[in-house]
Amino acid sequence: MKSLLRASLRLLDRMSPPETVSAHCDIPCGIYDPALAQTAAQTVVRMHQLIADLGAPKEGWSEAEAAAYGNSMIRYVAVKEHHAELCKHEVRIIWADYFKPEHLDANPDLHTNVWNILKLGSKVRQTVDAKAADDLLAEVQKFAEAFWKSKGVDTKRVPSNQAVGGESVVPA
Amino acid sequence: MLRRLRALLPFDRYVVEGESMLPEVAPAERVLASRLAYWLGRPRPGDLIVLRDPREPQRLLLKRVEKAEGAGSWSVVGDNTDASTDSRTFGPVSKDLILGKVVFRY
Repeated sequence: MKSLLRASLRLLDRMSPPETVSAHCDIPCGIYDPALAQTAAQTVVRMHQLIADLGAPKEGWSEAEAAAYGNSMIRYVAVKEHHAELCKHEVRIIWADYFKPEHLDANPDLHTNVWNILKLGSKVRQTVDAKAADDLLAEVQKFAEAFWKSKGVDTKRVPSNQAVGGESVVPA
Repeated sequence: MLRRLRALLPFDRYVVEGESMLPEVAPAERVLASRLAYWLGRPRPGDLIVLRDPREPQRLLLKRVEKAEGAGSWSVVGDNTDASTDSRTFGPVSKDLILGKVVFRY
């Protein structure tokens, strides 16, 4: 009887998926790291670099050349889309789940900083705008500094050591 | 038709994500919750329930009832307390946030 019910419910789930219920942890043991958002923002900058390197399509291309061009462009844009949203997601988690009202006293710019990240994160999806991507990364680095500072951890700026170049904020 | 069936039957199906109810309920496990269970009865300590996150009502949580906190609200906890956000963080929850009692797992 139980196994019949089980099988019927599974079948029903296949026809109409069940709602998700979260037995989720916000990790109150305190595992948050802005590195994920920083990497995502760097990826967005890198995609802008690759799109710029690709240049404009040329006249007289063979079908294969045109296909290769389209394929690369679409892949860069797809990754740009994904990582911009990933960046927003990671920042939102730290902002909503980690930061407490008392952190605002020490960092009154926090909300503006997050607002800028979310706006720029959308802008870099809507457009190909290298300046917006650089601004996004700069705001995310600032966010990383604020995060570590709130934990009493000093930070420093070191070379990113990634293809994208530039610097990264890391704990000192 | 399925939607009508869903409205007709006093049960909701859920798929679990996260590890706060380990070892009893594992991620990706499915549960059936009764919407009727608390029409007459009250939540009892130990009941496994589906509730709305008081901080973010569109998010649904799976927790265990710890105890009644005065009239009409209950504290809830995750079984795996190190990996759970529960009444320790968001306080007791009122009955209107409780959507159902888990009656079957599949």
